[in-house]
Amino acid sequence: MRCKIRYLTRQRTGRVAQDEQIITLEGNRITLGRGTDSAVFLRDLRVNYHHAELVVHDHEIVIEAVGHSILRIDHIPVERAVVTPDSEIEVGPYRLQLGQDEPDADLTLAVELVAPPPTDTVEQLIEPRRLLLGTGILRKRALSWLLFLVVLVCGLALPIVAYRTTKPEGAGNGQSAGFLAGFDRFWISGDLAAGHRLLGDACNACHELPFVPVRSEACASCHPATRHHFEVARFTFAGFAPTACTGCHSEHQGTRGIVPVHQSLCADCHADLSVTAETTLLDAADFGDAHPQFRPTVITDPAGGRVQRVALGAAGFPEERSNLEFPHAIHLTRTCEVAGVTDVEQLKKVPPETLQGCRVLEQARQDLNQAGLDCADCHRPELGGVSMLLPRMQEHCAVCHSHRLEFDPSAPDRVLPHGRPDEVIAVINDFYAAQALRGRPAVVVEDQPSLRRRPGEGAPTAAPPGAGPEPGQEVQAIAARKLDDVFGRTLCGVCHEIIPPAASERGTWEVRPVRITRLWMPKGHFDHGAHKTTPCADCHKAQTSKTSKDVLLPPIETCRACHRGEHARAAVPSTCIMCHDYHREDLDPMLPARARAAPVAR
Amino acid sequence: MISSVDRSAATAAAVDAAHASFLVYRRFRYLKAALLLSLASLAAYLVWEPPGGHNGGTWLGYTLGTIGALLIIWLMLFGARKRRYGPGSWSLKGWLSAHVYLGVSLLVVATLHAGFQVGLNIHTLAYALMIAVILSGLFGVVAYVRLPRLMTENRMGQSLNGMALEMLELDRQCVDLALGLSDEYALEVQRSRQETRLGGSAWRQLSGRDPKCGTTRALANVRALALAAPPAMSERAAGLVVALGRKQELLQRARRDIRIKALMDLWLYIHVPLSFALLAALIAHVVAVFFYWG
Repeated sequence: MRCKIRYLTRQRTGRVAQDEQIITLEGNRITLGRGTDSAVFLRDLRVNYHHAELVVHDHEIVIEAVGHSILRIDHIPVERAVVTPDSEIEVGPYRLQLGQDEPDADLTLAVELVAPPPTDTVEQLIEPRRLLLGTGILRKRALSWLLFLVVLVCGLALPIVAYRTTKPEGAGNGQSAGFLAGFDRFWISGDLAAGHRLLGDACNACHELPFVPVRSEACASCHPATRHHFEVARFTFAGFAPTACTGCHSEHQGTRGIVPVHQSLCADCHADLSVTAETTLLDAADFGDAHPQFRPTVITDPAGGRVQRVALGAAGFPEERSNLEFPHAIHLTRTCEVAGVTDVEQLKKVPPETLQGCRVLEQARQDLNQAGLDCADCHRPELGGVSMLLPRMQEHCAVCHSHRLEFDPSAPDRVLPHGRPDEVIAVINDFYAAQALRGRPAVVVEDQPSLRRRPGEGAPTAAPPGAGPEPGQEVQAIAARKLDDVFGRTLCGVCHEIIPPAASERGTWEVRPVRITRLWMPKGHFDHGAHKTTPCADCHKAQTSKTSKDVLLPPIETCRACHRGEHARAAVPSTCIMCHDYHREDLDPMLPARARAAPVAR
Repeated sequence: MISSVDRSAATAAAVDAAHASFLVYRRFRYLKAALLLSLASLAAYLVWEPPGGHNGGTWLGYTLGTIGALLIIWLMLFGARKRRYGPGSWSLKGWLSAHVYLGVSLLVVATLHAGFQVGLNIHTLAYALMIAVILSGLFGVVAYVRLPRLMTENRMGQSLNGMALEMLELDRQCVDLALGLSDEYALEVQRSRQETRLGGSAWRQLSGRDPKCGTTRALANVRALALAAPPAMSERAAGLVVALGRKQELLQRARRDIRIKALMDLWLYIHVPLSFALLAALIAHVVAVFFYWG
C-alpha cells in the first residue's frame, strides 16, 4: 500500500509549508505514534508511542486507538471510527485529515501540528508571585495598615468614645453604662488606691476635663477638711509654695497607695529648716541619725497651766508636776512582805488567815501567778489599742486602797469618799459630833505616824477609853485635828498635793486637781497596740522610778534600737509619716469645700 | 602631593569601608552612641530615686519617655529612607547601623521609662509591641549577617534564574530522551515538567521542600522503570535518570535558595507591621497619658 503523508507547517505569515513523504506499507494498517517505527511519525510527547492505527478496508477507512490512547473525531473522543475526508482526526496536538484520492497513492493524509508544544519559560517554573511570603491581607503593607488601625481604634478611639459616653456620676455611683467602659479601662496605668476604688469607672470624678491635670478642687470635693501643713501667710519663703494635691499624692499606684511615705517629702525642707525659715522647730531628717532627741511637753505648773518642752536627758529637764505622788518602783517591785513572801511558791504556803483580807494577795494566791503588781494591772489600752487609758482610783488604786480610807479605828467600817474633799470634811465633822452627842468620847490615837496600812497589815490597836481629854467642847478641836491628820498626813496627803486651810482661798482643806499628761508628744503619734508584744519595761523605766515627777518616756535611742531611717537595712525602715502627720489639724483647710458630686461640665 | 602608595592605601581603606558590615560602621560609632544613651539612662535611674518609686510620670519618666518616643519615630523613618535611592546626607549603611544600635538601646530607655511597671493596658501594650519589634529586628540582624553567606555557598555561582534555565534545558533533554521511550517514561517526563514548581505558600518556601514535587516522583519512577528496561531502551532510560537526577539536585538547591531568601524576608513581615501597630499604640499611649493627666 502506498501512502502519501503531507506534513503541513503553518507559518506565522499564514503560509502553509508542506513536506510530503511517500511510504509503502505491507498490509492495510498504517500506524500512528511517537515511536520511530510508526508509519506516521508524530514527534511529540503528547502522542503515545503507539497511538492509533488507520485500517484501510475496501469501502471504508477506520481509525482505531491503541490501548487507552485518546482519539477525537470531529472533537468527539472515540476508540474506533470510520473516517472520511471530511473527518477531522485529532491525535494529541496533531490534526490529521484524509485527502481526496490521488492517482499515485492509495491514501493521502495531511498531518498538521495545530498545538505546538508549550515553550517552557522560567516564569512557568518560578512564578514571582509564588516567591512572595505574604499575599493579600498578609502583605506587609496591608498587615501594617490593619494592625495600625486596629490598635488606634481599640487603644485610642474607643476609650475616647467611652469617656464621652460615661455618665458623669459622682463618687460611689460610678457604674458607667455599656460595654465601652472596658475600653476606658484599657488606659488605666495602675490600680486605684483602695480608698478610691469606690469611684468605680467614674474616671471623671477626678479627671474632670480632658488634657487638664487633676485639679485640687476635685480632691476637695470629697476631702474638704484637709488642712495646711504650715501657716501659709507666715512662711512664704521660696521653694515651698502650697502645691496641688497631686504634687504629693500620686494615684494609680496600686498597692503602693496614695499617701507618700518617703522621707524626702519632709526632709527636703526640715533637714535645714532652722536655716531657711524663722522657726523654733529643730532640724530633722533621717530618723536613724538626724532626728532631735524627744522633747516631751511636761506640765511644770499645773495651777498656772504652764507646760515646757525640753529634750529628754537635757540639763535642767523639768520635773512633771501632776499634783499626784505615785512611786512606780514601790508598786512594781515590792512583793508581799507580810509573811516574808517573795514569790508564788512561798505564797502558796501562807495560811489564808495570815493574809487578813488582802485582796491582792488573795487574788494572787488564787491565780498563783503573781505576788506583786504588773503594769497591766493599772494601765489598760484604749478601745482600738492605740493609746493607753489613765489609771483611775476607783478601778485600779481602790483594789488595794479603798478600804483603807477609814479614819477612825473605833469605826473601821466608816470610809471616807474619794475625790470629794468637802464631803470628807463633812463626814469627819459629823462623825465626831455624833460621837459627842452619844456621850462617847472621841479617841484620837496620837503619835501614830500613819493610819494607812499596807495590804495585809493588822489594824492598830486603839488606846483604852478614858485616857483622852474630856468629851463635849472639844469635839470641834478633835475634828479639826482629825482633818489635819487625814488631809495632811495619813490619807489624802500621801498621794495628793494638799492646800491647807491657811493657804486656801476658801479657808478649807483642798486637794489640788490631778493633771496627768495625756500626750507627752502631741506632734507625733505612737501606737501602743502595734508594740504590744514588747514588754512595757523595755521602753518605760518604771521599776526604778521612785517619784511621779519622773517622765517615764523612753529617749529616742530606745526607739532606734528597732527603728532607723528610710534606708535602714537591719532595722525597721521608718519614715517621718510613721509618727508625724503632714496635714495639721490646728490649721485652716487647704481648699474651700466645693459642692460634692458636681463635676465640671464637659 | 599624594604618593601612589598613599593613594592605593586610601583606596584600599575606602574599599574596606564600603565592604565593612553595618555593624562595624565608622568603628562602631552608633554602638557607642547607643551604649552612651543606655548607660546615661541607667545612671539617672539608679542615682535618682523619685518619691513614690520609678514610673513614667516622674520627670525622669517623662524625659526617658520623650527620648523613647522620638527614637521610635526616627527609627520608623528608616523605612522611608530605605526606599529613597542616592547617598543623601547619611549613607543607607549609616542609617542601618544607627537603626540597629539605637533601636536596641530602646530596650533600656523604654524599660527604665516604665520603671518596670506592667499591667493589662495600652501602656504595656505599647511596651510589649516595642519589645516584639526589637526582637524581630535582632532576628533580622542575625539573618543579614549569617544568611547571605549561606546563600552564596548554596548557589555555587549560579543565580536562581540560572538554575531555572538549566532546569528548562534538562526538561528539553528529557523530552528528547523520552520520545524514543515507552509511554510510561513519557508520562513521568511530563509529570516532571508540569508538576514541578518552585516557591508557593510561605510554609512551602520556608520549609525548603515540596512533598508533591513532580520531579522527585518522576525520578523515582523512571529509576524503577530503567532497572527493568529492555536492552534497546536501557541506554536512553539511563540517560533520562541522569537528567532527572540533575534536575532534582538543581531543584533542591533552588528550594534552599528560596528558603534562605524567605528567612531573610520573614522577620520583616513581623518587624514592619508590628512597628506600625507600635506607632498606633504609642500615639494612644501618649494621648491617654495627657488626656487623663495628673
